Amino acid sequence: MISIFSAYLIGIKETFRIKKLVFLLFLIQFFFAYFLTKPFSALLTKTFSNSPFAEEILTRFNYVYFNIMFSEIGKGVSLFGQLIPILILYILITIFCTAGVYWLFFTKSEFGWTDFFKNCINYFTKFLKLYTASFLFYASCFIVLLLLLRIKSSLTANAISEVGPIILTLINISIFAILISLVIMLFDYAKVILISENYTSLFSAIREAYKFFIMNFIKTIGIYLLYVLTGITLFVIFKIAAGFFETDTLVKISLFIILSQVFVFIRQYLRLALFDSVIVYYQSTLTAMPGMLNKEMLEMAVLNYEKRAGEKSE
Amino acid sequence: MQRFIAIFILFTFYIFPQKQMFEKPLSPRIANYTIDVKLDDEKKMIFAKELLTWKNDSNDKIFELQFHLYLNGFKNESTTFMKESTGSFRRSNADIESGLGWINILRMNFKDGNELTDRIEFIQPDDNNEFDQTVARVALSTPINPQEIVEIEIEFEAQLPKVFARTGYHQDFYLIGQWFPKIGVYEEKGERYATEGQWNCHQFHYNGEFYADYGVYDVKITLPDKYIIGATGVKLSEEKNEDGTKTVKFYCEDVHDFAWTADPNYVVVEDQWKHVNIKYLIQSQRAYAAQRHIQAAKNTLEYCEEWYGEYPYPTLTIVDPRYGGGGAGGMEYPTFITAGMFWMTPEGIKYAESVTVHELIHNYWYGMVGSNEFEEAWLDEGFTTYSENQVMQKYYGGKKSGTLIDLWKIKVDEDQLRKMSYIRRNPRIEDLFTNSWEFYAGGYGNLVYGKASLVLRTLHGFLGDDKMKSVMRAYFDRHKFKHPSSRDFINTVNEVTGENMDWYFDQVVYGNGVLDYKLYRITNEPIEIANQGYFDTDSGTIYFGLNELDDVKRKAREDSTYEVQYNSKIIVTREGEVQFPVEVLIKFSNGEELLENWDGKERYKIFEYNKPARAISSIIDPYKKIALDISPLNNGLTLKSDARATYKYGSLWLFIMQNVFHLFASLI
Repeated sequence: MISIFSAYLIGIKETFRIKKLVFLLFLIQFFFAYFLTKPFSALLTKTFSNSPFAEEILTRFNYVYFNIMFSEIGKGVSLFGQLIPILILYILITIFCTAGVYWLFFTKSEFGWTDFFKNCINYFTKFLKLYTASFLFYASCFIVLLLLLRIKSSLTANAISEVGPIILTLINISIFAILISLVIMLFDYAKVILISENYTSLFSAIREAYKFFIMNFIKTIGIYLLYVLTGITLFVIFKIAAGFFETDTLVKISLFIILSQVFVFIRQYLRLALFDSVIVYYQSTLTAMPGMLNKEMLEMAVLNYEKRAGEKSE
Repeated sequence: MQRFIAIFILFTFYIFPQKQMFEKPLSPRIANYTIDVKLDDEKKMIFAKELLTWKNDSNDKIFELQFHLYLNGFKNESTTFMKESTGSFRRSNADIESGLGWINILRMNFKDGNELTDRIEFIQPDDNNEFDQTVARVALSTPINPQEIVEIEIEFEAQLPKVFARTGYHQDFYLIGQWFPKIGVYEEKGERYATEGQWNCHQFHYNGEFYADYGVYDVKITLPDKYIIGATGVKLSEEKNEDGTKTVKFYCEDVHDFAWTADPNYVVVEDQWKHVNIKYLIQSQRAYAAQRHIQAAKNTLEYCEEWYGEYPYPTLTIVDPRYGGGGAGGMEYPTFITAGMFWMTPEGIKYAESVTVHELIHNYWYGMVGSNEFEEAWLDEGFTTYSENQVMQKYYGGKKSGTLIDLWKIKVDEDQLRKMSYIRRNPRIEDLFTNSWEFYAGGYGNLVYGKASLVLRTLHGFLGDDKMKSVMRAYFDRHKFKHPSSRDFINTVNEVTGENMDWYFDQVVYGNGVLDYKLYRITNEPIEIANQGYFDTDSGTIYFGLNELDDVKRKAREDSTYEVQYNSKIIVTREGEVQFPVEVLIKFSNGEELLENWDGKERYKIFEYNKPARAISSIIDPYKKIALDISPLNNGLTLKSDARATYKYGSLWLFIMQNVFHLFASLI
């Protein structure tokens, strides 16, 4: 079995192999976000492009100006009206591409657009069903949160200080966040199993994923922790870099745009690296033979996969 | 030397508590109360005996007395307060089932024994609501003569409500305000707006607060020993009783109200500012933040002393209500204010400071300048909000800092919130000179607080710092410990400035119009050195066609001294009803700047120039003196486009959207 650090590093290296795909996913996210930004940008242009007050808001946010901009100048302009349909479309496209990404990482195939999109189509329906099934689990997490909040309310009904209620609320939110994270981890493995075992039953895949998750609990948490830590480090670096300058000139604004997009791109990269780390770790556990090299395990995993896929289709 | 004398007097006062705060009375001392009250903390009731020493300070014979019984406002759902509030006050709700309150006069008589109890009847001078018992009238068999002083003994009991609107209890926390039978104000003919001698004694309403005469308060409070207690005035003594209670005496001169608080959970933090002993009763879990409130109090006292006048009392008590008792927070009483905050509130959220500043300033506007909060609420809330803004800007603001929120690069000033509440909630709904309870269609909060403070800020901008300071100091000095009206303030302004400012106040206090000036258009037309057509010359009438014009222009351009002349027009319009003089700053392409003045009376004004430069930008009120303008964004225009704001906030929004998408993608 491979260590989580090795799995994570392999994930980062392997993702570099499909850098064009990373860039495509980044661009998709960029354009969707840009589409939603357009009405807001148009409103800003209408309000401030020929206004002497533009100089003021470059150094400091002005609550009155922005309120007037939204309530008077922007009357009838809907900034969030298209958010839901755009978000749904984005999620569908992400599911579509994620299916292909998982196949790519699992089979370690050479990256090619045709094969990639072919397998996006192959596994899209299954991934979509899996995503829909995950709602049940997310809904359960919300129910747990509501129950916890109710318990908190009854425990603190006669509290003389807000310390208890605040601490309990923070604990409840933390529990909720942990539950959501566990569900995310569980379904990541369900996707791997769906691809590797070519399961037709959704709940079998989820059940197998659950078994794997429990048996390898510490290490699966470990990989995600590494991802979170890397993400936090990246965010801190970004905040420090962006905090060095005020965005009040075109040059500085452009610099902020570059910094923020680099941050978004690297984060996208890390997300894909996480997928591969998860797959690499999973594949390393398929044969419990110590001392074997990763490469051999992977080849075996691929052979196993193809063999099972062929048997099932027969 | 002066500081030494002040400290010596204070030292003496505390070591040898004595019943004299000031050498000479600061106020007429019309309504003086000696009250002996006992708190029953199991039943949540108070039992008290009150001696009211009241002077008929008018030239009229008084045939009846009128009293406020504010606690009856919480008696049932049919009272005026409960109907108007629908049981809710500043996001706190009444507990109808087990948390109502009332006050009952058990006995009332003159000190000489003349019984008055049977003469008590409830009246409803504002709305004829028969269920409202917040005003009691006592008809007298013998009138009280002018300048006569009477002593009235009142025995009463009260059920305290669960606190949701200023007064009451929550568990073991008590904030007791407006709790005793309080005599109304008798205004004789000519006083304020009285056309004949009358009692000014309004019912307890949802909108609006209180009005009373000044006097001396000598209050003895008996309560279980476990409580830490604070009140208006200074503590004279504290004695333990054998039954597990203690009796604490408080005393204050020249105030028109008395409130007190008790909670075993208080931590007492004391500090000193000049002659003022500041006592902060803070909840134990928030004790770490006491200095935030105390520093805010010191900043306020310093500012008010400079801008208005001295705070004469030797004491100030600040109260931090218990968690769950927030309905008692954000309230003012003489020398006693309630603030409040939450545990772990970051320093970048300055609610603690702003509420302390606001409530303390009320000790000037309402406390010492005793305007009628029922009828002219803008005189206390508007003045206080304006003053609060000044203090917050001076000590907590500045260009780089938000006075209310300054956290994670988000900076918001409190005056911006006030301005937006005025602008967004129908600014024309009523004028400021409206009885508080008669803001039927809304407007009390946004006008009395928001608009009124903007009126004063605009006046400040118009007059400048020095004149405004003179006006405020004069107003305070002339009307402290009296009951001024709006007219009194306006007269002070007129007198101190030497100008008749009625035109301003007629529009913004007595009228409901809005102020809005707009930079409508900037145009620049090159002035042709010649035009087509027939022109008379020395050589006769000659036709200038296009060829001839080109010839003339070519020769002109060859002349190195030639400059293209432009006819520039800057059109400014008055969009609102209020007429106010404005400054207009115009910038030209050659760097020249002109500051023009317009009286703002007509519907528009055209500034026209012929110059060898184009007008490139213009801004109305460039120095931001006119806070009342409801649409500041239309006050300026530039010909040159500047896309930086679009790029900056657009890219920020893009980044936020990308993060939103990433969040949802993480769930897949």
